[in-house]
Amino acid sequence: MVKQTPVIGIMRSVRKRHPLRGALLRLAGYIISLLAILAGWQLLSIIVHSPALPAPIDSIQMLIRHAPQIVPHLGTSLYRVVVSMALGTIAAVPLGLAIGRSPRLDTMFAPFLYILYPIPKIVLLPVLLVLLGLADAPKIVLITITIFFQVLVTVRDSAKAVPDASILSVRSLGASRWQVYRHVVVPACMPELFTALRISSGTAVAILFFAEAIAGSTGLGYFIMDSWGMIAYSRMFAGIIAMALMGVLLYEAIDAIERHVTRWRA
Amino acid sequence: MLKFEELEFTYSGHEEPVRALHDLNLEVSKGESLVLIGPSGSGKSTLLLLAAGLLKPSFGKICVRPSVYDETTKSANAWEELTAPRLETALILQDFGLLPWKTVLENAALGLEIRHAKRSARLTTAREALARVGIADFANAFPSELSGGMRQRLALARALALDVDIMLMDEPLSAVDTMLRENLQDLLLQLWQDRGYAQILVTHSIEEAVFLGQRIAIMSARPGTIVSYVNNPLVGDINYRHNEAYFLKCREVREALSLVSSPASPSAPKSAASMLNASETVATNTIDAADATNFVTATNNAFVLDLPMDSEPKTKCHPEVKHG
Repeated sequence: MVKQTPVIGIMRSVRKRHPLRGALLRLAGYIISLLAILAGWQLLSIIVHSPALPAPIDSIQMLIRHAPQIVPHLGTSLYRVVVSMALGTIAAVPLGLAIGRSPRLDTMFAPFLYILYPIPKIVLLPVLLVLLGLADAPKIVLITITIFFQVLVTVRDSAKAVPDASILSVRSLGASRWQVYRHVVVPACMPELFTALRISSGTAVAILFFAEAIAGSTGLGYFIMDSWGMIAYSRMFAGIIAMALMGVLLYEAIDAIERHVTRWRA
Repeated sequence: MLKFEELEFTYSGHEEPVRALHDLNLEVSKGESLVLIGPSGSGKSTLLLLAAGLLKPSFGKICVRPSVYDETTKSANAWEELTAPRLETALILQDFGLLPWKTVLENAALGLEIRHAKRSARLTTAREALARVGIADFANAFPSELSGGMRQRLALARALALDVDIMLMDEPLSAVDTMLRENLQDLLLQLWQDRGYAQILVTHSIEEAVFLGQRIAIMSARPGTIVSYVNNPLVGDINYRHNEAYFLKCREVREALSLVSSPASPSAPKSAASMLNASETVATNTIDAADATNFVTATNNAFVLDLPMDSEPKTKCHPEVKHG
């Protein structure tokens, strides 16, 4: 006699939220933060009372007036950051997974990594400018190298930390080495990968600003330094606002991809 | 079905090698239910990893013989040495090894996906397996949303979705409270009766051993070996627990165990034990809780990717090997 065993056990808080709810909450968060920042900025500009720190309203007016100029610069900068982050990630993830799961590879590569990782990659800028010119290439290569190392170290460490029980149980199901990666190691590393991307996107924008300010005549970094040279501080702050906007776009894009890839973490 | 011959296993790689198993001989017949019980550190978990083909014996052999009679040659099948995980063996580890990024249904279908079964076919089979263990309603939840008992059911479902002839279970019910435990023991008994696989179940619980094991193997402390068997022919009756014979059998096992249990438990290295999640080591109704230490020691040695992944040509075992 086959008896159906009754289910005992309580399902833990399964949240069923409306998808729009999250988006609305985030929007409200942005509006409140924006108001607070603008208020602080206004206050500071009154206290400092210097042409170098114009009032937000002047900067926003400048942003609107120079929009036809700023938008292409923003596009150029965003393009450079996104391409670099994608290239760096694509190169680093497979290598990090391989090194993290193979003690032999790790022994081989760890010294390379520890020598090269702490060097600020920005020191390579002069070399890259000489070799690759003043256009997109040196900036993309520089940011790619930076992202590559940050992602590589993170992915290697999280691949190392994958619970052996998960790997053993999947291997006992007959999984090949490739299937172990696909079903266990890669998904296990995803949360940390996105943390690394979020952190390194800040570094990427900083390096981009520096590279654009030093060489070339495109991108927000150039626009900001150009305004500074013209002593047009409101115009400069318009560029800074655009750069902040670029950061928001990057973070939100990374968050959106992460939410999609790691739905299980709800 | 499955046999171990003069099996030795030593964990190496740490400061000093740990001898986990010594001169172990065991044969499990087709469809038999065998329970391993013994003090902490007797290598019970190690034995399961070896039986699953995830560890290689330091000495001796593990052989399998899927069926006793071969249709094509009209003769008895030969024993074949186990060199890699085989598809017809399922292993359920103490913490179930469920993948948190897959839904309940995807977890149940994982074995079939690894075997490249068609999507529709594997989802149908997985749903049937979920229904069999009573968690069909939670197919789209993630494991983190399930209670301990339900995760246990899911681990069972993943094994049931496959057509296995050997089921290996390492303290499958240690994370479950007593009331639920008996419920799941009933389920384990029914599944074993329905499916007819041979099973090796590691437990710390005497009651569980007597309820589920046709043969109960008593293991000695490290280096572990089987010192005696308790035969338990009445297994299979769902009401066995209310039978007087059951209590007598429990007593028999308890007495057999008292002969091998050292007075002070040979405490496991702290570093290894502390790596285990505390909740996983807490076992109710048990002799000692830190037995999984062997498993942790093994996993520290990074054998995980160094073992052969693809099945190698199978070598024949010598049928005339004398048991030591």
